[in-house]
Amino acid sequence: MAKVFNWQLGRDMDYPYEGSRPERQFCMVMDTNKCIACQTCTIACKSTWTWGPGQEYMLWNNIETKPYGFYPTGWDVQVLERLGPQDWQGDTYAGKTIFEAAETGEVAVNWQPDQADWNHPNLGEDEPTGVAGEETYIPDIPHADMWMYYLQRICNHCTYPACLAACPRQAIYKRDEDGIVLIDQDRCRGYQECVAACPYKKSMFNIETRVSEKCIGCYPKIEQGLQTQCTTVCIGRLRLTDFVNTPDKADARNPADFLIHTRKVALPIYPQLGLEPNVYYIPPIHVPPKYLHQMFGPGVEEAIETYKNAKDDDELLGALMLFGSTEKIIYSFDVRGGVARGYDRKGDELVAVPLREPELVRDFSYPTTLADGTPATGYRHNT
Amino acid sequence: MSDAITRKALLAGAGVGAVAVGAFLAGCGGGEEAPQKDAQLVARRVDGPLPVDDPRSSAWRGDGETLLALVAQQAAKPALAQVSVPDVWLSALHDGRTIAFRASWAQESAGEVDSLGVFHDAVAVMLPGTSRERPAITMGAPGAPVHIAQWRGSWQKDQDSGRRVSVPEIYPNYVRDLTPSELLPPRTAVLWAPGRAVGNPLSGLEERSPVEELLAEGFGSTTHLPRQQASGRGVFADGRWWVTIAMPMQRGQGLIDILGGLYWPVAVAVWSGPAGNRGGRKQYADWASMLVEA
Ligand code: SF4
Ligand code: SF4
Repeated sequence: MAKVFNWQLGRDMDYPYEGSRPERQFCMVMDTNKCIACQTCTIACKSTWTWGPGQEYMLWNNIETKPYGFYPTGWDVQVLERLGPQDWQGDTYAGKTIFEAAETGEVAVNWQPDQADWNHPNLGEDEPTGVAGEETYIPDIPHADMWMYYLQRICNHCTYPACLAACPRQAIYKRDEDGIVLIDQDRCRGYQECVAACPYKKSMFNIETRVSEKCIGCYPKIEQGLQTQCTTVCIGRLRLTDFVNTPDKADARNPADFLIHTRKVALPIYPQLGLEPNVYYIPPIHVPPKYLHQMFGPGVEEAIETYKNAKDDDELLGALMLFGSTEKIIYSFDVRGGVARGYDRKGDELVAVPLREPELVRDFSYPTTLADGTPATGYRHNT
Repeated sequence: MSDAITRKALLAGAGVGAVAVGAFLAGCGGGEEAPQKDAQLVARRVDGPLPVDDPRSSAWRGDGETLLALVAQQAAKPALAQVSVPDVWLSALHDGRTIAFRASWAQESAGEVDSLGVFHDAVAVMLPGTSRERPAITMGAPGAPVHIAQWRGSWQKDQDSGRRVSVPEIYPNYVRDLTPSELLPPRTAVLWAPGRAVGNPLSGLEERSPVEELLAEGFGSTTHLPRQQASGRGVFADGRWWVTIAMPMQRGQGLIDILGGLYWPVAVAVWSGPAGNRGGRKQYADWASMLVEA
């Protein structure tokens, strides 16, 4: 195995191939706090890419309610359980990655879901932990004992993909121009090794064509400078499609780098698995840190503190306000005079979003006239 | 598009343990009588048609039938942890124009479907491509190709059911609304069957033989041969698969002719779908020597 550097682990790790980073790395940032699980993103993805026969169960994008929702069933607990202790020493991961913990003859710690595991995309939906008291629905605010949150899931277009590493035919490749991970539909022979090896279970088998498929990062849109379908349709405006640099090359004018590296408010999902996943999450503010620490690694509490402070942090607020403000990919941004602006690759302005809308208080009553012209006082309803 | 990650072969310790697997005496053979201990595989020359469509014909039995021990593929990852099919009976016949093999092995149940975490059974016969020398057992090596003919249980089921087995057969209670082909012209609708759109031979709708011919120059390099000439048939009965694989002796496509009166190396691999076998997770018999009768 080769040694590669994984910045999310703060150390070198074993990987079957030599490390070589793409020219640019596709990424997404999700603000879990804003999601309403409307699944508009899921439907946008499905109706764009996977409505063919054989793709019935395929959800390249899915929203699951944590902690009891999974698609496929138990995907994360299955791999976490097999992985063994996952300790961190500060920002350095002291446990083993799925590549390092692989059994003899295997590329990674893996788990092959069976057919029934793909049957319940809505398992655990809206189910909170704990039981509400009788007198009020949520007895303690903030929700001390009861919590749940929505997790937005797509393929992480990992820097060190397990799907790619496990394919005996080298049918999976990572594009140099944007780091998007694709399955060559011609080379694939349907062994489903990628399905077993991807700990996030974002590689899926097509029953009709008998080869595997996965999220393609909407690459035809990325090539045109556009954000993905799931991003642009998002009702909660909580998604950002962008490119991320490694921390040593971070550019604070780039919204993703700013959120991930400068403010450190967006964290990778299950970084301890060792794939250097490129979907980053702003953790839910009301969930016990112990749970979040397992899912997003160290830095969860600081991220939440920083996020809560956004109202007093114009730059952070500005970066968040740019989510869902334009279909175009925002390469850089700034915040001046209470306005956040996003720019394209050439530096041309794409969008300007005010941080705070002007406040307008309308009078409860107003002068008006009756049908016959008699002056009268009108009263606003529902204002 | 270029690969950001070097496609370095994943061969873990390239030297494959050459496992001596000659003929064996074993309890439960496919042939009624156990072959001689030092027996070798003989492709007997017969007149008249070869019983390719009848894998259980008594014509397949005889002195030249051999029991080959199978070992788990562990040279390349992902590997097979342990064999679930310990041996396979192999026999061969030819008529001067076509050579046909019959393989038989025991399994508890048949794997005839490709689905989510569900795999088909298969058997493959491997022959040297361009010389009579034994190529590397690792499916050949660059410059020393092997010719592989693989039969799959799923293709057999396709053929037996007269149509390509797909979602409605595997999940009879499935529900779905509109499909792309109900709404769009075929050339557009096929885009939602990406494997088919790019012409992957596994994905096509056209009727096909249950046997696929491949060329390989090492693990992971199998390539569908442009001209597919092999045929065969598999029958699952009495807890065993009985499978025939036939191909012309003048193979063409840059492959040398299989000539009678000579010894030829032949290797076999077996996959048990219910045991999770697929791709490199297979059991195989190292090169055996096969006398093709003059
Ligand atoms: S999330 Fe899974 S499918 Fe996507 S690149 Fe990573 S390993 Fe591959
Ligand atoms: S569209 Fe946005 S708000 Fe709706 S489920 Fe998807 S991520 Fe959540």
